[in-house]
Amino acid sequence: MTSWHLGDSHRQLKSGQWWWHNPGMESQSAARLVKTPQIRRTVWVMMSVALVGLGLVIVCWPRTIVLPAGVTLQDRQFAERRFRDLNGIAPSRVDLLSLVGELAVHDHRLQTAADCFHEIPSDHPRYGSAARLQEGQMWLRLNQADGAEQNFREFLSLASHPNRSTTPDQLSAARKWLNYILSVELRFEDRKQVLAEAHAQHAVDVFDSKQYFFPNLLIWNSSAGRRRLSEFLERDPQNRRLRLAHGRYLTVGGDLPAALAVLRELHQQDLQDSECAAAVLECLFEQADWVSFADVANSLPEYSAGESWLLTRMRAEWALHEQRWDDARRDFERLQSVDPASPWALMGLAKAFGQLKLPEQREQALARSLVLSRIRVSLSTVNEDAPEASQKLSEECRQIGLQDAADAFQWHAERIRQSHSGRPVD
Amino acid sequence: MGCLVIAVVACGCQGTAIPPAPGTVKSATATPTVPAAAVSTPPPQGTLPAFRMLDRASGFDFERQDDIRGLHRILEANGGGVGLFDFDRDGWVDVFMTNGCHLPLKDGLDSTRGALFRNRGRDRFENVTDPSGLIQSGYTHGCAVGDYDNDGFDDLYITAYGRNAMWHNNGDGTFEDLTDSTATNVSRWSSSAAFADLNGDGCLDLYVANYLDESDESPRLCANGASPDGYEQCPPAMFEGVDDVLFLSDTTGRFVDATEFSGLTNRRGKGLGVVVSDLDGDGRREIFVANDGQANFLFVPSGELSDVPTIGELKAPVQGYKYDERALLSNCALSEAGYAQANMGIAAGDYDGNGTTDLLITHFYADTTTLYANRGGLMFEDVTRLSRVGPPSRNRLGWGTAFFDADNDGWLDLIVANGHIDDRTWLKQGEPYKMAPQIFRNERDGSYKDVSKWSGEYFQKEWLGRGLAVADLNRDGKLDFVVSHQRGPSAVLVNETDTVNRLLTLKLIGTRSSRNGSGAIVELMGESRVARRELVGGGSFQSASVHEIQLGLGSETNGTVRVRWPSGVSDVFQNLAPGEWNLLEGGRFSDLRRCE
Repeated sequence: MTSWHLGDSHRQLKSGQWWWHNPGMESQSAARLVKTPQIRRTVWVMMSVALVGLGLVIVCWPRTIVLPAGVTLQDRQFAERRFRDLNGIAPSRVDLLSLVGELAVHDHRLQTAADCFHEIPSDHPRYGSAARLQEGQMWLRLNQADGAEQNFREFLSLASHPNRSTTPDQLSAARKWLNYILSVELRFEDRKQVLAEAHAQHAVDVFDSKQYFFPNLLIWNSSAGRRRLSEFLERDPQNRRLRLAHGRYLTVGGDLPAALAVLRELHQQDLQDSECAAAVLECLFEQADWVSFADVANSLPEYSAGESWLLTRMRAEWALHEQRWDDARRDFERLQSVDPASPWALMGLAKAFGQLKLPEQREQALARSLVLSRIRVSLSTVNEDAPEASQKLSEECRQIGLQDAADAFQWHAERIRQSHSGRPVD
Repeated sequence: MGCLVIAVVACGCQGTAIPPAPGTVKSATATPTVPAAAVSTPPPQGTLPAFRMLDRASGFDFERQDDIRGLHRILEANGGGVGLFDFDRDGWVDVFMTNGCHLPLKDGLDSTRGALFRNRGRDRFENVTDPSGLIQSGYTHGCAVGDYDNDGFDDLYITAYGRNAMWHNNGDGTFEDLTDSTATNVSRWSSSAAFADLNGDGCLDLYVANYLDESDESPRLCANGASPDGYEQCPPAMFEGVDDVLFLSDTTGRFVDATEFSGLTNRRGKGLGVVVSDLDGDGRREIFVANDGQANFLFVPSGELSDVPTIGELKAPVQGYKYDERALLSNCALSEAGYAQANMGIAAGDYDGNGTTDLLITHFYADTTTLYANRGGLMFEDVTRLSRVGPPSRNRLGWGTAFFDADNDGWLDLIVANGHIDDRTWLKQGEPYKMAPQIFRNERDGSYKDVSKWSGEYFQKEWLGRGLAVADLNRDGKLDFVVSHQRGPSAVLVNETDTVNRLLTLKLIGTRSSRNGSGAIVELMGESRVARRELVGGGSFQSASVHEIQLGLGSETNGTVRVRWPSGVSDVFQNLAPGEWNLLEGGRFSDLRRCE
């Protein structure tokens, strides 16, 4: 940094000399002005002094580094001193942005911190990745969910590049925060993708696996989630995705008229948004308003494999209600294929099998539901301190054919046991 | 050094912990109870129930002691129950309240006692615990009422953490503890119990629902630094369930433990509520048990009666059924969503008027009350959504409950006592501790409407409701109810609903069937419909409603009723005028309050 400025000043100084001695560039008026050697010498001295002074000013003038609004002179000076103390050299702009950002975090000036981290380019070899994580965290604390999600996703993307150095803790933090946002926004399908990548890398803890394998067994309509969503909404009241989640929280919270008002409005704004249509259907399903349900259900697009789980479930419930037992079976099986531990799918299948005069299949579905209901209650005891709980869960999963979940929790049980025994973890 | 900077960055700059993801928090924001005056919603059309809470001047003055003092032991959660029965047969229904005590039991066993209030009529009560000799100490929870020895006087079985007790009604205003001689002691943590004649021998048997395996001397405590006391209540999932107990009467005043014979062992349920009812109309009674956080049990008698192996000589062999557990196949083990809910209290009755007994179960906060409509053939359908009891119950934690006809229109309304298990108001997301009770009006179309905000001051206040029982306490032809509260005075609620509909109250007296007609089914033969009531055993939560049949006559001026006794006898009583009647098996009847 310092050398860059020195070099720059030096170039300017040289360039002044070059201008002065270039005959082609001398103007007529200047020649007339310099009439005597004494005057010429005086002018020469004055201009030299001015040039040296200008150079010194350029070298010493710190405001040449533009930092975001909100960064005070004290921030800058403190950060510079701190950086010099730590590194023995003067900070660059990115150094300053990073350090001032951290200082702002410490002082709870979150917007300033976010602005600082935002200015750090992602491709910066030293700070780029970390800045995305930091910025994401700041936006989350500022309840700016979209900004946070975007940064966490970018961090995870950068981290996948082999030349990027990210720590497991950073990766874990980014995933957890991203999962948190997706959970609050009730975007379980998106969350599953994030968790799938983490599971593929065995970079998961017990809670990650619970979210991954049992998205609909964990209680997701918590007041903590609702409260957080309302904070997001306060910051970004027109955000359609947040409003949709808000409507769903109202539905599962039992405030059906309010839910319907929110969801209907969103649905009217975009009739092609099948995710929104599914949320409307969920509310009407809870109201047992099958007449209105039919209006929306009849305008749904054809099933597609990537559609929201809720939409698939609503198709299945609709088929059950209309006594289209084969359709209900098909739709619940589709739901089961994307969420194998869906209690809705199993209970729905049991109903359909019963009507299809398939008593054995019905009993099997109910028996699996019973095990799932036990798993659901016991999930709270499955944590990083209890390998036996993971072991038991693994066995229960195996009992009902959830092999991947069984393997994952078996792995957790062994991992936790090893870590408790002090042996290195594979 | 640069690594150090990055490490600081990596730690998240401010050292914040990752907040709990939504799935980890089993709670929801409290919905503050809105005072009636602040509610702008116009009242719904039609008759609205109205109740008034009696004050202490009535003589009913009871506050339960649960030894709640900051440890948040799970024992403190369940609170107490209510027993409503006319112990002195003066025609007025009396009130028994169970009580807790200081823990551990070895230190506090005699520190408190339950209370028996004699109903003196006209909303006046007298505490007659001492003269009655019904001195029940210990950490008691629930009670069941039944005339187990068919002497014409209802007896009382009290459940407890510790020793359960059978109190024999001597018929002279006093009670005697005959637990040992009746062989009905259970030394587990019992909650609800139900008297019912399960084997059709004309004598009442007894089912005792047991809850968890827990020690009072070294209770399991769950530390939580965020709690002001440093603890929070441990979830039931951390405890093992324990088997329930089935006692069959030997017809001489003793009971035989038939749990193993009946196939009820090794179930390890977490029973909180129990009801005995003929759910499939085959004349035999099923046992439904509400389990906390587990699938419910539906024990269905299978095969024929057979002799129960017993130790020692009996005058006559005791016969019983073997039971199959069929809740799952009958669609009443889990909710529609496939969840094993925190099943607690049970209301049993024909809410939709289809001639079968339906079951409503109360549940935990942020979950719904669940209504299982009986579709016949031992098949139930979760109609929580259809009945509209789900949404209003989400922000409540329900315990005692009952179907009862508050406005005598012939349709069963619904009442629920609410309150949290533990004070969690310190939680950031907030959960109310005390909660307002709820009353739902039967809309006669298979749905309910929450009319609590228009039903009196009691419903606008917040309580820690637990046990609840129903009876016409002042014999004014309207059903009243009593609620056991924690951390506050228990309440008698007098029905002041403005209605011209009249009530027919029937006390059944069996001659071949059990003396108090347990299990009898009564049908009011109206012009347009038949209203069906069953004298079920148990129900609600740790409580016993009066053993009478109440039939709202609606627009009828009198009623013709048919009684189908458990013995198989069927009687028809024509043109009964509104009021209270004794109906004897065999067709005779008399004024219930002739003894007054």
